[in-house]
Amino acid sequence: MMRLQSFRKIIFDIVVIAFISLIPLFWFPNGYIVTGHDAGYPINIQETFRNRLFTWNSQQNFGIDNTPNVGAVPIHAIEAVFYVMGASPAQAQQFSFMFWLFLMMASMYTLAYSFQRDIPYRFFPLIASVLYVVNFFLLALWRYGAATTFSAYCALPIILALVIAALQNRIPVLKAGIAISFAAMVFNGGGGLSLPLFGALLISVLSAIVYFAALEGKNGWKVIVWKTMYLGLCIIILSAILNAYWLFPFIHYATSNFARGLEANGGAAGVLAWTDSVSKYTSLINLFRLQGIPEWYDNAVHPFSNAYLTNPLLIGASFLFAPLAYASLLFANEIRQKQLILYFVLLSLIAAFFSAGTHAPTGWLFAQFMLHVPGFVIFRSAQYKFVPALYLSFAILISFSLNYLIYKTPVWEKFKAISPRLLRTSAVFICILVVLGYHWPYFRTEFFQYSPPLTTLLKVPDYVLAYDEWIDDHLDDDKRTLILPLYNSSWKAAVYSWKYFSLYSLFNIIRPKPFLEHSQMLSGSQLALMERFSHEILHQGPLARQFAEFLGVRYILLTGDVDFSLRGMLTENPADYKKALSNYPVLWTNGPWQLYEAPSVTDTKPLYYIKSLTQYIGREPDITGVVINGANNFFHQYDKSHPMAVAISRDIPISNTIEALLCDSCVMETAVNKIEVPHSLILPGSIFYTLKQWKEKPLEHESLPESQLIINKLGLSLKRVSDIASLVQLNKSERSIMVTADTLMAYWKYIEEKVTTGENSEPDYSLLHRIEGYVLSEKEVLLKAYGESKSGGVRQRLISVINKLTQIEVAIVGVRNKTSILKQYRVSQVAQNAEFFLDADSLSKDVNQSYIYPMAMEFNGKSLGITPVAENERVSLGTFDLRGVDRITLRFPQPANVLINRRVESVVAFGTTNFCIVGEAGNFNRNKSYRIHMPDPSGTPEGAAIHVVRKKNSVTKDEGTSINYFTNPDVTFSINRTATVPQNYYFSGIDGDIGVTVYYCASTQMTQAGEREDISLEEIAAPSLFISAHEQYASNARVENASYTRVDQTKYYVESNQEAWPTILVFNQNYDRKWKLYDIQGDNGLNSYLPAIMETWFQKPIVESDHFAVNGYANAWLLRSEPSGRLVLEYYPQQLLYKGIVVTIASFVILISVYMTNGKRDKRESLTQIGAV
Amino acid sequence: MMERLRPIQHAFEQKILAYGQAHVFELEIFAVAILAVALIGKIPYLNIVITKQISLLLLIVFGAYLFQIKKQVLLTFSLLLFACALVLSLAGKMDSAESIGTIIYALLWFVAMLYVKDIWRQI
Repeated sequence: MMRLQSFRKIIFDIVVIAFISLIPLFWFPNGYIVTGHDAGYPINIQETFRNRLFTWNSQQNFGIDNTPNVGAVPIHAIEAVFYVMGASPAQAQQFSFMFWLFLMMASMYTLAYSFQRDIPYRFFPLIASVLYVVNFFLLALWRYGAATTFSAYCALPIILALVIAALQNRIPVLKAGIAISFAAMVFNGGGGLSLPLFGALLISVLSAIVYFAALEGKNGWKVIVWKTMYLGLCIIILSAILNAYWLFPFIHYATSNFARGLEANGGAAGVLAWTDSVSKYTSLINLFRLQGIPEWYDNAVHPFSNAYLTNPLLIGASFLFAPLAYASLLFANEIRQKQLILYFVLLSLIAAFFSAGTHAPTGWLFAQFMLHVPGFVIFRSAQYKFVPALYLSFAILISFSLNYLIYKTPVWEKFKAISPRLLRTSAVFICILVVLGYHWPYFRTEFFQYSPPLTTLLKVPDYVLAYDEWIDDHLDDDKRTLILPLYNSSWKAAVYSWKYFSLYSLFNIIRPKPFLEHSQMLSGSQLALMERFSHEILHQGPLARQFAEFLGVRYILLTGDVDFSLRGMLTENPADYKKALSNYPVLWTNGPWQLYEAPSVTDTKPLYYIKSLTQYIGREPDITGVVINGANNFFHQYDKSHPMAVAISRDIPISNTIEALLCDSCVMETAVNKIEVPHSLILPGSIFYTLKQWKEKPLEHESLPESQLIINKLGLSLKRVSDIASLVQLNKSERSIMVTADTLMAYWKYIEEKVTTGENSEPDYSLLHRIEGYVLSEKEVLLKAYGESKSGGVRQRLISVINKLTQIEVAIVGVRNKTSILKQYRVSQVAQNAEFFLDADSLSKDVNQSYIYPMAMEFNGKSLGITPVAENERVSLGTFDLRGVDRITLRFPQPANVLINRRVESVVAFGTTNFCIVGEAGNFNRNKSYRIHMPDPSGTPEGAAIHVVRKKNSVTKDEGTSINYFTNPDVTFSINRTATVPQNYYFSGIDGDIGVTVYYCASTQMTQAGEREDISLEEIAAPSLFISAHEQYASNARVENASYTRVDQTKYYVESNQEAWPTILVFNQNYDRKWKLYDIQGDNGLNSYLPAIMETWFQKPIVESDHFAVNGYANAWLLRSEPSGRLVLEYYPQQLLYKGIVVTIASFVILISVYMTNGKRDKRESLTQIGAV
Repeated sequence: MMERLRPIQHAFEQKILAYGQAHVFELEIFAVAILAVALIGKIPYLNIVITKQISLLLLIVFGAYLFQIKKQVLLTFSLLLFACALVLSLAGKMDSAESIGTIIYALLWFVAMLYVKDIWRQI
C-alpha cells in the first residue's frame, strides 16, 4: 500500500516535471530553428548526422579531423531520431529541447529522491529539480542548444546520487560502479574535448569522498578509502570500456595534440588571460546571487540583464538564494539530515571557489592550480565548468529550507477548515511559480539575441534549402566549391542578412559537399592561396585558372546575402564579385545565391600521381609565388617547429626549387611600436634597490649574440628611465637622479656603438626598428622629466641623454629613408643559374596604375642593371649566378606621391576655423600600407595634425560635409614639431575600405604650409622576390589522375596504374599523419577471411618518412616500387572507432548480464533474510 | 584520531598560555601593532596591504572565539550580512557589497567547520 502511494506521488511529480519541460514550446515561432553562433544545429539533419559518424570531415575546406566530436554522436542522435520519426527539422529541435529539459529535471529528482530516508519532505525532490534547471546559467546555454553541456548537467546529479549511496552503504559498490559507468556512457557530455564539462562532477564526487570518509571517524575512514578505491577502479575501467567507441580514437588524438592545443591558446599566460576574462564578474557576492555571467555586464544591448542589474525588486530577490540555502543548516535536526545538508553547504563553498576562477579574493590560488596542477588548464573557463555544482548544492539546500518552512510552520494549523495539506501543497506550487516568475526571460524569445540584431533563433531562407536539395545530385563529393566573398579579415566568418553568424560554417550544417571558404581553420599557406585566388577572380586576373586547379576548386558560389556593412564585421561587397563573375557559366541561381563553374585547365582528381615536385623554400604567405611561376605541385620545406614538418625522405624527386627571399629592410617601413614605460616602485636610495638590480640580471657575457645583449640593455634603459621619472616626480635627491642618468647614458652609448660600428655591413633592420621604439618612448618621458626638474645639474644630465637619443634617432631615420628605395634580401640558396622574378601584385603603383619596377640589383654591393619582363603577374628580372652571394638589394625609383585632388580647405569645427591641405589616395588598394611623409616637421604650425578618413563600401558617415570628416577621423597623427628629422606616419587599409582622404590641418597659417607642399602620400611596396633554379627532374612534372574507389570519406581504394617507379601519390585532403596508405594483398593470408572493414587492422602502413605534405596542404606518399597488392588509403582514427565500437558493444552486453545477475541475487538474498525472520 | 590529538592540543594550549603570561607586555605591543596596521591598512616598508574586510573578519572570528558565540548565532549573523550587501548593492556600492560577500564566504567556511566539529562529536 505504502509502495503504491509512493509510486503515485512519483508519477504525479513526473507529470509536473513533464509539464515544466514544455517551456521550449514558447521559444519557436513557426518554422524557426536555433542555429548559428555556437549552436551548430543542422539544417539537413539526416545527412549531417551521417557525416558525424566519421572521424574525418572531408567537406570543410581541405578536410578536418573530426575525432574529438565522435563522442557526441549519441547526443546528436536524439534530434536525428525525432527527424526519422517524421518531425520537421524545427519540430525535431523542439522535441529534443523538451527531452533534455525533462532529463535534467529527472536526474536531479533522482538525486533528491535518493535522500528520502533522511529528508522525507513530500515536495523536496520536485522543488530541487525545478531550481536545478531554471536558472540563468542554463538559459545562456539554451540560446545555443548546448546539448553536450546538458548531457554533463544530467550526469552530475545521477552520478553523485550513486556515489553517495555507495559511500553510505545503500547500494553495493560493484553495482554502483556499473550504474555510474552506464550513466557516464549515456551522458558523456559529447566525450573527447568535452571533458572539462565534468569539472563540477569532479569536485562534487571528490568532496563527497573526503567528507564521508571524514565523517566515519577513527577506523571507518579506512573502509571508505578502500571502498573509494574499489569504486574508482570500477568506474574507470567500466566507463573506459563502455565509452571505447570514442575513447580509442580520442586517446590517439589527445596524445598528439595536447601540447599543441595549449600553445594555440597562448601558453599558460594566454590561458590565464582567458580565465581572467571569464572570471571578470564572478565575485563571491555575485555567485551567491547565482549571477556573474560576463555578457550580462559586457554586452550593453543584452536582452534582459539590465532589468536584473537595476530593478530593486529583482536585485532584492537575487539576494534571497544564499540566505535560504544556508539557513538550511539552522533547520536540519537529525544527525543524518545534518550530515547531508552540511555536505551540500561545503560543496557550495567549494564550488564558489572554483566558479570564481581567477577573481579576487581567492583567484590567486586558482591561478596556482592552473599553473602547477597538470591538466587543470582544461578548466580555463572556470565559471562555466564548475558552476553546475553550485546550482546543484543550492537547489538541494533551498528546496530543503522551503520544505522545512512549509511543513514545519505551525501557521497552517490555524486553517484547519480549509485543509492544511492543501495549503501546504499550494505553497509548494506558489514557490515553483515564483521561481519561474523570477526567471521570466525563460518565457520570451529575446534571450536568443546574443548581439542584436544577431540571434540564434532563425528562419532559414528558401534559397538555402533549395541549394541544399539541388547539390545532392549535381555536385561531386570530391570537388570543392569556393564560397565568395571573402569575409571580415579578423573574424573570418560570414554574417548573413538573415542573421546567421558562426565560426562553424553554414556549409557544415547543410548537405555535406566539399567547400572552401574564408575561415579561421585555414593554415597560413592555405589562406594565402585562397585569398589570392579570390583576388584574381575579383580583379579578373590571369591566374584564376591556375589557382582553381591548384586548390581543387570546380565551382564558385557567390552568397549575395552576406551583410557586408555590419559594424565591426565589414567585409567585401558581394556585388563587386557579381560583376567580376559575369563571364563565368552560371550553373544554379536562386535569390541572392549564384553558383558558377570555376575556370579549370584540366580536370584533376582528388587522387593523382606525379613524378616530381617543385621544392619551395620560404614563408607561408609567399607561397603564391609557386603558382605564379606555373608549378603544378610543390613540396614546402618547413621549419622544424612547423606542425607539418616531418622527417622527409631525401629521395623525393625535385624538378626545380623556388625560394621566396626574405625582405629584411621592409620592417623599417612599418609603424614604430612605442614601448610603455613601466612605473617604478623601488627607487635608487631604497634598501631594496640592490635587490632590484640583482633581479634585473644584466647580460654581460661576450659569447652571447650581440642582438641579445642590445635587447637586454634596451630593457634596462627602460627601467632607468622609469626610475628617473619617479625620482623627478617625487623630488628625490639630485645625486640619485644624476647617477641613474649616467647609467642610462652608458647603456645608450653601448647601444649606439654596437649599432653604428658596422657601417659597411648590413644593419640588423628589425633590431633598429625595435630600438627606435625605445628611443621615442624614452625620449618622451625624459623630456617630461626635464620640464619638471628644477635642478640645473639634473637638467644638464637629462639633456645630454636626450641629445644622445636624438642622435640615434637621426641615424635610424637615415637608414629608413634609404629603405624606401633600397630593399634588402637574404639568400640561403647557392645556385649557378637562378632566375629572379617578382610577384607584380606586391609592387606599388603610381597614380597612372602602372607598376613601379626596380631599376637595378646589387649583389653584395655590386650593382647590375636589369630589364624587368612582365608576363601575367610574374615579373622576370633575369638569370644570375648566385655563388658567393648572401645578400641582394633591389634599387627602386623614388616612391610616387599618390595624393591626388590636392587642395586647401578651411573647415569650421567647434567654433574654430581650421585650415587644411586635403587630398585623396589615388588608386587606393585596401591590401596595401601607406606612408605619409613629412620632410621638415619643425616648420609646421603649432597644433598641426594629420587626419586620415576612410571611405567605406557602405556609408558609415555623412559624406556630404567635410566637417564630419574632420571632427571624426579614423586615424590621427599629432606632429612632433621638435623633431629635427623627417617624419613618417603609417597606416594600412582595413576591411570595407574603398579609399582614404588625408587632412593636414592646423588652426592657423595653413596656407603657408600648403604653399610649401609639406606632405606626400606614398604606397609602400613590400616586393615578393623569388629565385627559381632547375634540378635534375626538370622535364617530368606531369600530373596523371589515379583510378580510385571512394568507400567513404575515411577510406579509398587506389589503383596503381603507373608504368614507372618511383612515383608520388597525391591525395588532396589536408595533410594529417593519421592518413595511412596500405599495400594489401587481398587474396592471401588472414585478409581473405576478414570483412572489408577489418582488412587494414593487422597490416603495416607504408613507412611514415615517405608520407609528406605537398601544395601547402595535401598528403603525398613516395611510392618507391610497384605495390604488390591493392593500395588502401585510410584515416587511422576511423579504424580505432570501429575497434572501439566492438569493445563497447561487447562490454555493454556483459555488464548488463552482470548487473541483472547481481540484482537477482540481491533480491534472492533479501527474500531469504525475510524468510529467516 | 581526535582523541590522539587532544593531549597534543592541550599541551600546545598550555604552552601558549605560559608564553602569554610570561610576555604580556610584548603581546600587548604586538596586538597594538596589528590594530595599527589594520587601521592604516598596510604594513609600512613591506607594502603589504591589509584590506578592511580582512581586518573585520579577524575581529569577528576572534570575537566569536573569545566570547564563545554559538555557531547558530554566527550563521544567523552571516545571513544578516546578506541584507547588508543588498543595501549596499541597491545604493550602487558594488565594491563594498563584494567585500561583504568575501566576509560572508569566510564566515560560512568558519561556521561549516564548527558544524563539522559538532557532527564529529555526535557520531
